Amino acid sequence: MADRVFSLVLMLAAVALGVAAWQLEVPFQYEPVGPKAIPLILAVLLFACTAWLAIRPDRLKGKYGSNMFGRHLLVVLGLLVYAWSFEVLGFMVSTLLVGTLFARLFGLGWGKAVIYSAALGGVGYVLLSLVLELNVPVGTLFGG
Amino acid sequence: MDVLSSLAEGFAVALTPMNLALVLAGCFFGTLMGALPGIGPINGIAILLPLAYSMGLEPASAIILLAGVYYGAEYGGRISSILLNVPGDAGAIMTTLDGYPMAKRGEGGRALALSAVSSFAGSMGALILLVIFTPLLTRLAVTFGPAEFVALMVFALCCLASMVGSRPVKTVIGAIIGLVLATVGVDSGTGVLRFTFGLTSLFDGVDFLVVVIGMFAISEILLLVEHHYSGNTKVDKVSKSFVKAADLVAVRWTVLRSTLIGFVIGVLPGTGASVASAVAYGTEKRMAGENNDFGNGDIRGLAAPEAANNSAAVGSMVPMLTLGIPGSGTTAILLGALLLFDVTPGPLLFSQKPDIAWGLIASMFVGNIALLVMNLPLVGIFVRMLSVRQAYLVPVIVMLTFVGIYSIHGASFDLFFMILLGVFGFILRKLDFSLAPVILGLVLGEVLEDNLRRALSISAGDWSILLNNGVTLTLWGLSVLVLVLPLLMSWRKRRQAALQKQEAAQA
Repeated sequence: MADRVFSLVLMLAAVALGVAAWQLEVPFQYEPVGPKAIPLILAVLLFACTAWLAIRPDRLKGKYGSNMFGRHLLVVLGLLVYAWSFEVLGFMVSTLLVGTLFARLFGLGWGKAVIYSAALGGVGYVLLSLVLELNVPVGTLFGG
Repeated sequence: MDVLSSLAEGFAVALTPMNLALVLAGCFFGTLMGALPGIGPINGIAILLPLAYSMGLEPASAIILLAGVYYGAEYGGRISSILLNVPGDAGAIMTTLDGYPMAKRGEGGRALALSAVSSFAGSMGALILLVIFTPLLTRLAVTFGPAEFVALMVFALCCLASMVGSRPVKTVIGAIIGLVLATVGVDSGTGVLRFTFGLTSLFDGVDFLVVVIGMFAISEILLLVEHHYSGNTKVDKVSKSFVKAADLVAVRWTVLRSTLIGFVIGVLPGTGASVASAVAYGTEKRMAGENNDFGNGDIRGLAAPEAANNSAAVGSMVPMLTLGIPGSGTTAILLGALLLFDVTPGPLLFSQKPDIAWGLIASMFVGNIALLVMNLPLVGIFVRMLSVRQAYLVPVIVMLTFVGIYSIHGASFDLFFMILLGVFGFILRKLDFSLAPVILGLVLGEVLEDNLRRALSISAGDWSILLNNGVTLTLWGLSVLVLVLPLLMSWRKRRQAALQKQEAAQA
């Protein structure tokens, strides 16, 4: 069932790809193929393969429970918060926040999770920013 | 001896203090990544790649580091296979079959030592084969024109489709998704923008690193949160037993055969260490006949997959370096890494950038000796690492992926895009799609399109140029063959089964 839904979505994507490729306007070109050919071929192939999969989907073994969905949602939300706060709050504070969330999700107690994430933010900043000289944001809130 | 002098120059590159340190670091991290269940070589390389890029390493140094992670992981994977019965990476699945029973009857030390020596022998054997065959293949590949390359890439994708994953059609879909992702951005031929949705961040195309990290590392975290076990996994103390000279003598032919099998399978495009170790194990089991203890701790069953997966890891470097076509998902990432550093792998790499090509090969000799040392006397360090809880590990992985991706362009857009791709990769993995074809498609996409368009420019739009000579015709024929053969075989099997059923019903 999941296979079928997914392949239908991909079939729609293939159609969209084909239409978008068809509409590419090329002002002038020096070679016979142009930018349309490959996307069009791919769109046709993708449509054919996903149609085949929709007709004969696999029977998937694993079941996907609602309790799993909750955990996955938390992970994705955590990642989104990290992505958003990375520039705003800076590396150290956002690592503290999101690190705590992930340590908790994988079964660490509150106290340990906070201490570990704080250490991770601090040590990480020193190692990555000062030693390896990578581009690590200080945070716009702190004038970075 | 042309080859030997080139190799000597390679050693001059590999033995500079900086590169030596990077080989050692790469091998150490690789073993660690391989040993920790859930973080395979692909994730290890994916996490280190943006860091290496942003640190401004030389191309040769970066590729030496990343390759070290790759073959180091093939050593590390066996540790958790043997001690915990949990394969550390895909190439080490077969190692659990005979490795874990040995550890259970108190021969953990012997199993670890024997497998380390087998790994070493497999790698070294394959490296010697690589040194012999690479120049030959390069000489052949220099004669290839765009039409030949198009056929070769299609062949690589077909090999992948028929050998990786449960359903060929899913592998093909994965590869097409990768190829489509590769078309995003400014078209190099005409300057037309394709599928950018008006986002300036996509004008340059989809960033390879964002796709790799999103699809592999982020989706891995989503998978880990499912399987996570809260309690400490208990690692038994490794017994003091050690490998005996008699063991090594007993497995010498097994190791030699498995090395050859691993190398050949590694060289074939699209197939990597996991296929190689399975084939080697199966071959040894069949050759042993009645008189065997396979599955209950037979030393041959332990030596075979370990020699083969290391040999395959080296073998898969051959098509990457000589043809610019990766032999596995992990080498696809290495190839992407080279492209990122403005180095185009392929037949000209050996003549134009010999320091990179031969430096890498020489560094693999050095790295494997280092790995033997790390994995014989120092194996205890990695064993202790196995009991590190995931709760401590996952925040570090998340942090490194974010810093790595952010430091490329300093743009939050990449972070959000990475998460989106991570969720997409997770859905793909949940539906039994393998991700290696996606990466292969992404890496090959641009090269494939360039070569196709160049070929058709030569022929002024006549598509028959793709079929104009023996090389291309052979490659197209082989492509069809690898796609059709498995289908025919399963059809015959089903037919035979049906016939037998009919006969049974009539009797």
